[in-house]
Amino acid sequence: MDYQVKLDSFTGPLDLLIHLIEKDEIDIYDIPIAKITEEYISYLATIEELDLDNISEFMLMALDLLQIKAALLLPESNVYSSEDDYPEEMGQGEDLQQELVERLVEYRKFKKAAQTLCEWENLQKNIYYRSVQEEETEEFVLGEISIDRLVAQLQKIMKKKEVKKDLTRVIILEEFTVEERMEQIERMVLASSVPIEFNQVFLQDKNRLAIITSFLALLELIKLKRIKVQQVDAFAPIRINSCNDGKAERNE
Amino acid sequence: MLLPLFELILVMTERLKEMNEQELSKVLEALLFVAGKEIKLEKLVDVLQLEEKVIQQALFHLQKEYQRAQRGIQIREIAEGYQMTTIPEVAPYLEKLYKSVTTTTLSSAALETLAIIAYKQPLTRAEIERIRGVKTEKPLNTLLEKGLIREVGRKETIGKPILYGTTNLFLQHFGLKDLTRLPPLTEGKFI
Repeated sequence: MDYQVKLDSFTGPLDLLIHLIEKDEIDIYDIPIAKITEEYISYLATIEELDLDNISEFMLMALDLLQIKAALLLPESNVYSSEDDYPEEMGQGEDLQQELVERLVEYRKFKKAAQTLCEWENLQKNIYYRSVQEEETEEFVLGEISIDRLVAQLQKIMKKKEVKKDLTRVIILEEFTVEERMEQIERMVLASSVPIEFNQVFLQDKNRLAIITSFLALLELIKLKRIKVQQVDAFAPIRINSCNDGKAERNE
Repeated sequence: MLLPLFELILVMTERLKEMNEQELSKVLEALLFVAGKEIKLEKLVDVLQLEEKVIQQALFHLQKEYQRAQRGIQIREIAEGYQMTTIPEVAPYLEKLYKSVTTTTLSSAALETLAIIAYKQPLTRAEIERIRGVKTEKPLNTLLEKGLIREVGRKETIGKPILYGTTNLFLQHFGLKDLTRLPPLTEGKFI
């Protein structure tokens, strides 16, 4: 080979084949399979570092090429040509080659289109427009409040409780499970005639684990659409509603 | 800053019925300026309460006006809407102003994958891989991350594989008015 190109400069075996065909200025519909196969394989052989992620496809193509080459070398199948007992799984050389050519032609169309797109992409880089800071950035919205805000609230609560940390206690017992807490919160929400405040959920929680358990329970309830969290404006308290009659309560 | 302008636009839209095209083109100019990204024609119809044709006509004239006056700003049709952008010639100065605008381009594998999706959508990963002859998971993920393609549904076959299609951002990214403006697929050689 008179020059070397890295394998990763080709996006796949078809890309490499197209490269070899065009380098030799071969008519794609009339590929000298033996020659191309040889070039293809010797090309693979020059690769020192095998990128295992991609190499299997390149190898498979080598096998395909060898198969076509072999099939083409078989004596003319006059014996079978019009017979039903032609061993189909062998595939006639010409058929296999035709199939490969079709794939190459199809692939090349898109490769060309991709090239044009690449040019357009570069043109596009020279065009600027005003970037308005929109509130459109997709936040994970829970009901009507973003997860970020909930987490910020949670951190506040954690900090407050931290002060009262009981240093003598070494083993933290799991006082309740997320499921139990879910039930408690839901009961609390349903029992109250007005929406309860976010902080109320954590009133009885004495340690981080308890707070986190409560928070997980809250998220789970939101996910199951059993409760709704809302905040009227940025500094208003976060309120928790039951989902069934949430609207009615909010309008009070 | 934004609010008075919007109010102005609102006041003007109320008077639209008596508005001549000169006035309409002022409003359109203001809308396009404030929006930054493209505004869809239907949105303009909704805002202006005027017929599509009238708006299109006014936009066309506005476009020509900018061209004739050789401004640094242009109005172009993109992603099924209209957008006010700078002209390409001034790019070097804008780059200097914003220094660090090194936008990364897509890899050849990603571009190939994107081209296949653009023409053949909706289609599955397996269908893309059949054309490319190589695994396509990575380029697909890149394209999804960049928002150039999206999942558009599931194919009704075994395993219900995900179907992919291009997004509005795809049109925007390549400066396309709509999908009919894709480069034609030809069989010719490269070089």
